[in-house]
Amino acid sequence: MSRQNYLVSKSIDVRGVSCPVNAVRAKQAIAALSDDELIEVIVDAGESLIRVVRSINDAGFKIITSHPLENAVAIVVSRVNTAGRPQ
Amino acid sequence: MSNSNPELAALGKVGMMRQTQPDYYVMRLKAVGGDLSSGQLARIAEVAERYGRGGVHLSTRQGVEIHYVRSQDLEPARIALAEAGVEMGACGPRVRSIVACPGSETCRLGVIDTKPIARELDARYFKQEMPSKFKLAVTGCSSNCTKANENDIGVRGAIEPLWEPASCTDCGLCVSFCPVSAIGRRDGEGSGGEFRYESDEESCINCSVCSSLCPSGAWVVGRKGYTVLIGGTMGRIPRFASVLKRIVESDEELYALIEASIRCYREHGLKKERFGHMIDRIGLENIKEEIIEQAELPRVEKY
Repeated sequence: MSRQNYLVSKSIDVRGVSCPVNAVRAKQAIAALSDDELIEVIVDAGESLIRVVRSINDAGFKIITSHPLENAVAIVVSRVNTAGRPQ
Repeated sequence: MSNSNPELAALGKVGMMRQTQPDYYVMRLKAVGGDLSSGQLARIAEVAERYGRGGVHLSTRQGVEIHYVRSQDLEPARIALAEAGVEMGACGPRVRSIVACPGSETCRLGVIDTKPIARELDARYFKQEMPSKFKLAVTGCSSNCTKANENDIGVRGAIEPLWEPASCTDCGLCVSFCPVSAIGRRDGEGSGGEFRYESDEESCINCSVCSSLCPSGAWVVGRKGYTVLIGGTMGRIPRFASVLKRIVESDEELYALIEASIRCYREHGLKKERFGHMIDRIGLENIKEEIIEQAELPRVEKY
């Protein structure tokens, strides 16, 4: 079984944007989505990725999948968290 | 210290040191885990104003030092501080103030509650005589804010992650965010022939990034406890601490390991030889074996 692909309608690139502005911009873009839309957030690997993912989780948005890029990661996110985050 | 004019040689034992300037002394105060109340801080300020030059120096071990105190003022200053519950620190070949980060009580990243451990270690060991200076630090997680691996004994909060396949959505993010690339995805290796994620035990730093960030809650805390580190020093001959045990799950075992480490150092350590240098002289594996064996023995003494 291989990882699924998703149809993404929007994209935001926050590479090179320092914390916490990268997370703020990503969250603003996610918040502007409609319920059935997915956005791709491209963020630098390392500490930026950790901060942005934590921020997206805390805001209650849902990370669907991700793809590693060179020194960066593309995260696919939906605004609505239908599945919820078990914890 | 009841003597109002203490011997110079005894001053070091009670946290007082001669300054470069003749007849001036440093008063080193203890603050376990860097904690002082506002009342204590006010008293320290009063004493610094009255007996020093109105300033303090913040030490690297979370303590406060009052400088420029004259010898005849040391005892009245000490009494004034003691009235507010401010104790003197330690100098020389002794167990120094126990350092601790805020830990899970207030820090979002904290894995363990550091302050009660620091206070317990203080009650058990503070100022005890050792072959050389002896420093203990407690840090809440692998962020390592109080530098557990730069202390003779370090206690660091640690988790061992566990992957729960039923919750996993196969988003792959853990592979990217693991700070040490310990997580890998194996295709066709799960129990039903599907994918599987695993964390490499050797490279994992037990940091809790995966268990706190996994978007579907598939990475959970499998085991939680303390990593015990021994033999760190950042003095003239720096040496990072070695891992004595990666995950210690009970407080009882934690204190038994620390007690056994201290006994081992007292038995084998040469005068002025730091614990880590003793470990290098004798051999890490031998020392680890001895400490772990000793820690498992039942102890008659009660604290």
